[in-house]
Amino acid sequence: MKAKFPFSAIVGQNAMRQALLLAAVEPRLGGVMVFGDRGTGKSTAVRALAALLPPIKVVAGSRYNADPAERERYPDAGELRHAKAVEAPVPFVDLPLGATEDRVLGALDLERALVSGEKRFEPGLLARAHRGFLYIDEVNLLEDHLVDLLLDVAASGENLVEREGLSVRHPARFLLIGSGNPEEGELRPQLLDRFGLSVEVTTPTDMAERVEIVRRCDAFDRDPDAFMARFADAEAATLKALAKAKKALGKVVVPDAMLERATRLCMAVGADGLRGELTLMRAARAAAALEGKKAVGPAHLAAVAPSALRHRLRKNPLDDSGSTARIERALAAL
Amino acid sequence: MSEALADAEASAAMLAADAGLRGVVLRSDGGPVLEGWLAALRGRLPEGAPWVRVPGSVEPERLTGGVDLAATLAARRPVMAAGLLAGADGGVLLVPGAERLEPGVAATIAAAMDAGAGFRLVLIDEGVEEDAGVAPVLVERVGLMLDLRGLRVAPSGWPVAGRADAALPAGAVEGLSAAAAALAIPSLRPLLFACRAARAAAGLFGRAEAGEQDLARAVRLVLMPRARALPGAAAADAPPSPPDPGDAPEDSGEAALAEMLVEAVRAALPAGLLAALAAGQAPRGSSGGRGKGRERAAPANGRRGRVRMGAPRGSWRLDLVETLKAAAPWQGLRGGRGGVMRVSKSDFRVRRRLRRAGATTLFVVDASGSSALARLNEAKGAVELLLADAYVRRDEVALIAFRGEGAELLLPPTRSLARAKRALGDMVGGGGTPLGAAIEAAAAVARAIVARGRQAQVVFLTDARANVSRGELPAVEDALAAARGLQGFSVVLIDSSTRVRAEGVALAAAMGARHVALPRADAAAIRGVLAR
Repeated sequence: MKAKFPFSAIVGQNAMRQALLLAAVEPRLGGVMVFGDRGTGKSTAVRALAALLPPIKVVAGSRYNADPAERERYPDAGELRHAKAVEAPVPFVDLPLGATEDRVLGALDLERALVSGEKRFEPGLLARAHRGFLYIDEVNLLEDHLVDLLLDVAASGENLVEREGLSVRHPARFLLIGSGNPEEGELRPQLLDRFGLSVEVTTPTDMAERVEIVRRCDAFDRDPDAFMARFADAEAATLKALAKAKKALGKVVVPDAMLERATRLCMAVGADGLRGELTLMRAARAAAALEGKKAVGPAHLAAVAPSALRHRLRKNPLDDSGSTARIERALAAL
Repeated sequence: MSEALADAEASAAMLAADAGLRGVVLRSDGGPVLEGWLAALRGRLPEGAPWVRVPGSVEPERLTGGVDLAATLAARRPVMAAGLLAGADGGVLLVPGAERLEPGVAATIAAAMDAGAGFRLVLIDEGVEEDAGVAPVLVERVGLMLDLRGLRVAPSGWPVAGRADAALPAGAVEGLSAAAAALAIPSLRPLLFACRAARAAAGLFGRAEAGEQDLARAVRLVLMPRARALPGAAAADAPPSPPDPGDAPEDSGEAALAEMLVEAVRAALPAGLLAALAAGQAPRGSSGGRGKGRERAAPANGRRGRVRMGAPRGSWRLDLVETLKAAAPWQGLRGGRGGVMRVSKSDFRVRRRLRRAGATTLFVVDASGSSALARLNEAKGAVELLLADAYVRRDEVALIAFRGEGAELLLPPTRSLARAKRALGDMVGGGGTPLGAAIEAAAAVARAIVARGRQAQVVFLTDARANVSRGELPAVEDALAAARGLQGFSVVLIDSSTRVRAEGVALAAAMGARHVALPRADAAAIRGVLAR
């Protein structure tokens, strides 16, 4: 395991960092889609956030990252009845483009089958990502049937396998992070719609900022420990804010005026479906919670609107202004 | 010794000295020059460091490891095979014919590198065409790139021991950033690699601090091969602009260094690159999104087909894993014990590898005369609708518009809606109808599409009233003469004239095309025609 670049040490990319924090506070937002070219720090930020989060409690030896509080829900409940609870880092799983269905969902454990004729389930990447992050680079190039599978599991929070005489179900709740470059292939609208938030990441154009990024990466490469120590306080502060926000989230109030404002905004930009409105409200509440506020205000709505709605606008072939610009125009007109 | 040879020898030693450079892309057509370079790298690595070759046809599962089926069945006990990636830890993973790597394999290697795998990746690009290349996802993740094809002499090993702690002088990061900006390289990874490469280059000579020659070498080995624009030329995707020494609050030494590096870049640009850049194309190997290798990234190509029951026959090959899985649940009943599998005929599972060629739909749109704008807009709409469908079928779309004196390929084959929108953003209409030239251009593009192993479908959107000829013949005859060039392709002629006339029907017949009369061809109707 190599050391992870500290989340607080990332230069710029505020929109992406904010979206990731919101998704960490409010898992029901349903993942983040990051649009952007290669080498803009997408995966660095996602990995950094996973490394920053506090460790989770798991049943020792569980292949499903079983939560000790609900052991009985996992297929290995029987064999691990007396296993202790231990701390483990938040899982971070990469789903590579070439992954087969077997590797993703899990399949018959061939080794056991060959040796002892025993039918045993070999958990896949979904089980490994449970309670953590599932990161898919170039999600726009992923095979369609895999995308459909993933979306089903992400929506139901459960992986159901019925094949080769096996019948297994296990919890699979993860934060889905996709990234891709729209220049290299479109994402289907129905897939985009499932991602709660989306951000556009561009390469920093400011020379000083680029130089600072290079300096930090270089310092981190040469002496990771010293570099981590430099940002330890900032990391701790971020973690504290996250924990407080998670706790306060349920108590954040949404005034009627804000609900109405959100509806008007969605109508104005023509964001399809109710999912947009729901996401907008949830994201605004998470933003308020992160700031330690008790109620959602117009500023929170404005801050999250681009990332909650950008990818849900109906494409108008004759309007070439970007989605973000359209949302900002609508916000200004409210 | 030539600079190219010195760079080649230094690059092998630099990669050996600093695993953080992650790897190299070597353009080579094999032979002693490549062997020499590889031997130079191997000679600098510790004794016994792994050296793992990855065949181009490797399955992603072999990379990550798992049960070795053949050995397991032979030994009657489980035999695990370590994955090739793990086996290369601390040494070299060598990929010959890297331009032919399956996208799934490339992605698996890239994911391992992101997770901190400890191998150096050597990608050998043997491609002959200038526009294919190694998967961008891997090019992005290795530091060095060099072309060995121009070398007459095989590189030999680096003679002296170096040091590993060379530092960068003040202003070096700014200088390299300026050079990257001048070459319009948006990604930050090459910039980070360039810093490492400069330090590694200095280390070879035992220098404590990188000098100008080391920085220039880093620019040549890391940045220049990824250039997407000429220094001084505006790039398509607005790179960061280099700092203007006039108003930058830095001392003149740093500004001068940046200037020097950009100058070094300019001086050392190879002629071929210059031509490619002048033509406004990113050279191969750039991290750019020209869709290089994208055709192959369409999973429809070479994707594993569906599995079905039955005995292996013809193109249906036995799928051992699936067969054993099917047999496993029955072993208790069949009395299989201790590693002896009893497989019966009903367990056989076969799989056919799909090589469904993706289709490319080429629109040829008449932008002449009065109804031009309406037609263009409907064609644009049809392109977008098709691309939306295409996501499901992995198809591509291209568009030629013709008016006045000639035809122009406005949109090269692409799957990207974003690109299509940009390319079709400002089409103009009006003028004569050079049908002959348009048909000739369409035939050329269609042949190129087929040469890439895809199916071509050509869709004409015109009222078929030719009035501009390519040469001596009257325009209508000229169009008919050109039309023969399209025979054998799948062609549809959507006739947008208000009343169908004989010319349109005759032209369609000459092309071997389906003639469809759509007086008010709107985008949805066009899509409907193509879906038939």
